[in-house]
Amino acid sequence: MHTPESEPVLIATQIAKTFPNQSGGLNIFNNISITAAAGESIAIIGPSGAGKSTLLSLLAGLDIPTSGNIRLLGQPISQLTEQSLAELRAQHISFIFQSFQLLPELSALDNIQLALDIQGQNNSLNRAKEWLDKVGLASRYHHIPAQLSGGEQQRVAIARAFATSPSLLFADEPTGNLDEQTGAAIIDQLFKLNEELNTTLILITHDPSLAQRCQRRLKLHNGELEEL
Amino acid sequence: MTNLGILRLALKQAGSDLRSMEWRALLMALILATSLASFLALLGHQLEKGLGQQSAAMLGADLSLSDSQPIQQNLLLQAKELGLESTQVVQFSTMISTGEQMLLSSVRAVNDPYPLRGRLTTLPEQSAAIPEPGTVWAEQALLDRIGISVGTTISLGYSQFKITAVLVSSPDRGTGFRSFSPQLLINQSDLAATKVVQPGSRIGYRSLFSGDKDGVTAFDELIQAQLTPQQRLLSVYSDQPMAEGAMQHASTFLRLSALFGLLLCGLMITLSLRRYSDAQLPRCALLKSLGMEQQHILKLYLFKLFNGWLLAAVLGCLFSIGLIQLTEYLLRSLLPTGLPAADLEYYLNGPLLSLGLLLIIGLSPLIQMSRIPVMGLLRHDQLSQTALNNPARLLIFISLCGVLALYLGSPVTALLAIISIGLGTLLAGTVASFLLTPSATILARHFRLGRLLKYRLRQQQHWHKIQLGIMSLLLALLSSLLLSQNELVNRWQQQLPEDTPNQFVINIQPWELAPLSQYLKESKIDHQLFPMIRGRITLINDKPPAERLTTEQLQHNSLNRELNLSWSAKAPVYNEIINGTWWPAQSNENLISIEQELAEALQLTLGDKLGFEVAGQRFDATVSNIRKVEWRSFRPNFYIIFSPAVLKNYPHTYITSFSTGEGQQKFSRNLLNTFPALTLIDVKQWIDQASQLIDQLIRAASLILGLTLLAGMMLVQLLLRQELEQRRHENALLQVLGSTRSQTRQLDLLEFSLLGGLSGAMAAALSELITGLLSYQLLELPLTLHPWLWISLPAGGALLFIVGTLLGRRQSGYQQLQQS
Repeated sequence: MHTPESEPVLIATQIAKTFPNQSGGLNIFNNISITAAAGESIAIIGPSGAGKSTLLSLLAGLDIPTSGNIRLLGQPISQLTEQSLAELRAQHISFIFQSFQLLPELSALDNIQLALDIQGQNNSLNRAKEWLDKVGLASRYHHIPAQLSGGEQQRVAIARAFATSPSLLFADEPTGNLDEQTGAAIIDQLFKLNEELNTTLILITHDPSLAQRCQRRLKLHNGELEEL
Repeated sequence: MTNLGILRLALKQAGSDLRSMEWRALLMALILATSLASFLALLGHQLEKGLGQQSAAMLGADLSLSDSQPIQQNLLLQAKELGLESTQVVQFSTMISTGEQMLLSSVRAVNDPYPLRGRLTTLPEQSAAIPEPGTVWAEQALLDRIGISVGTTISLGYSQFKITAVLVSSPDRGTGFRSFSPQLLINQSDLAATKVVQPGSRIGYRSLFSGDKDGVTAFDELIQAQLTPQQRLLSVYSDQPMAEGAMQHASTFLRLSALFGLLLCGLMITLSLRRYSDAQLPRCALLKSLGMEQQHILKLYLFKLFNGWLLAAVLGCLFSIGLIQLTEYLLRSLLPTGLPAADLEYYLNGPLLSLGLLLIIGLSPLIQMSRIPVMGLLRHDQLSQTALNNPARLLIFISLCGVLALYLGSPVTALLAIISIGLGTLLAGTVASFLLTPSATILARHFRLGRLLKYRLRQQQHWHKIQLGIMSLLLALLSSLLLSQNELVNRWQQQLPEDTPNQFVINIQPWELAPLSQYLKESKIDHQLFPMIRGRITLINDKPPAERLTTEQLQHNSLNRELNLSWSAKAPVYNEIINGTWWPAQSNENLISIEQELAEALQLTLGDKLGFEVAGQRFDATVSNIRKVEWRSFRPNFYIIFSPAVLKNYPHTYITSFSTGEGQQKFSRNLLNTFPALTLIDVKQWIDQASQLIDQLIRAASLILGLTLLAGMMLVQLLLRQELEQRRHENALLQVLGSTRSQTRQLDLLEFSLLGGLSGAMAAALSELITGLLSYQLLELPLTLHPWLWISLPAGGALLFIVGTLLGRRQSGYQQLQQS
């Protein structure tokens, strides 16, 4: 997929999300607009229940806004089929989750190779090894997630996310399940790789120090998004 | 992602799938369904192939014509003209004796060549095709039962025979009860000297034919056109399935008993697949977040299900082959020659049925898994399957019924059986769950966490109803089956009055009448001799039965075979005249007395006229009275008794029955020494042979019901596991609040043993009802309670649930989690 240099990677224009409930509908937010340029890192912060995860799922094309438009890598997501969205995710988008989300029966190597296989890459095994080496887990190729520490599991997840060379990386509280020291090491690694690969990073966090490391910080509060 | 990549992923996940309880339960359900279905399809097919005499070797010929009369010579000539070879067989039941022992056996008198197809196997091997005159070949069962061996001399009628070989296997064993008695083979040239065959004797004549297919087919058509009701034609080329009567009923019975098992497997597949797919939802969402397409996820899980099914198909088939071997062993005296090998296609029946069940039940969760939104990884409330709507459920139910009906070969039976099982389970479950709360209230008073027990039972009412229903019904069916096996025949025998006749004598020739009567009188044996003659009903009030009766009425046994007719100047003392009057002793009119049930079935009243055919002659007789007959009295009883003038000039024999009391063996031996041509039937031996047959069929059915019980127990275990998982957090919380671990454990055990105990109690009540009804309906025995059942079934049920609970807690790492 080709994205012109000038066009931002992500453009969300006046999006709103309302969940149906008994009293007609619960409005999470209204008229939110964001633009993310290639290589930019953006932190979205806000109190619990503000709708950060909902916003992330809309921006990543996992959910459809009640109104407004979202263009991902130049494509209007509301007009994409389920198959095109899957293709878009496989080729250009990656996720990092708070609870790591590794497949428990697969080894560290297999977990990364799986993402590359889905993307349709040749030589997926060697690339997976390179990525594990890069995150410092060269000695853990054949360990399954249960045999890895929390920090190691999140590193595998980071390696998996970057291995497919995504244009856009969404991270949902990536250090939420880790202690402070491990969390800091993981974040160093995340930003280092992000810089190296010029990936656009959109990160949800509670942690102000983590947010500080992003180029832009947006606060979601009372249904509105405010640039800090 | 390529198909190979998807397959590789499926295989990589196979190990972790095998570690999950849901996947294992799914596999077990599939293995059980495949085993049950394969076992029954194979058994049915093999029985049909073996007992249905579809192979010429089993029939001993290409065509076999059975009759109560010797074959007409013109038929033999016609067969010869068509180029067919033929031979005649005479078969009859008689007592053989060794001086010490006597045994009811089935004798085949044969001519060389015999058989026309297949061969006789003997030990030691004999050079002659059939026994030499003066010798017999006997089946091992006969030798075993009277404790003799090859070389012994036996008496048969007026003749003595030396046993020269054991008959290991032989075709043409005949059909019906006669074929179940141990058999022996004699040379037909010896038959006359035994004097067993006399005019009017009960003898089976069989003509065997063989030749080229065209000749056999032409002869088949020729005989078909003139077949009389008492004749039976079996042909290897005929399209008609030849396994009739008992075996077909047995096959249907076996299939129906398996239906319950298959339904349970279906339920287990539904529940385990539902739980498996629930557990797989996060991983489906993850795969989608990595860019995997919906159809690839569908393919991934189809591969997985296919792999699981393949494993189950192979294991299930192997298991069913083992079961067939076991059945062959259990039915060994019913199937002396063993079962023939099954055709390959029948091995596919079970695997195809389980594939059908899997696809019908599995498609919906599979589609839901592939449609799960990636958002579920961020918002866990999105990670759940939507419940099916009613039309979809109905569609699945109809498809399931369709597949089962296809398998059972009868849509109506399948539907009726499914509905009865469903209603039975629901009813048993509702009644049992209704009793659950009061029982829990009593128990709750004695335990500290008693209130919680009541709360739990209320909360799980829905699942408990299913568990209770299934287990009650299963335990009830199994215990009823075992009860009937042990009890019915014994109790029936016990309730017969002391003086119930225990010996029947048939084939008494007119010239033996006076000396036999004298002999019995001298031995102080109370008896009444009746003449007996075979004939059939041809007209009802001057019209053929087909013109007067409905199709259903025409099915009545009396119209489709030759009846035993008798005549008497006086009414039998043990028959009660309920309508009309008996004729005067000297009456010259053609009058008949008819049995009450037959009169009702054919809608006959006093004054109606029946037409008969006896020994080729036709005549009419008028209904003079209607009698009530106690068929189980073990006395000679007849549907129709004539006034003496009508039948006495036709060839006839006599029949009587009497009780010999103590010293029965000695009396029978002396009687047969004095009158060697008589056929003496020892009722006890006959009952023993019949109950052995019933025993074997029941054992085969128990095998299937045992498998069904296994399916039920696995289902209960699956449900228990589900409930125990829900309990984990609740118990952990209780411990935080101050309960001890042993108290929470006690609570779990109490809940499940209450369920088990109640299922057992329901089962005890149900099996008392079932056996009570069976005893009354079949044998008119009064209801008897079985106190041990009321102890063993609840205790057994409770034990079953307790073991399940303990296993479930251990497997799920339950205690560790509680401690953490």
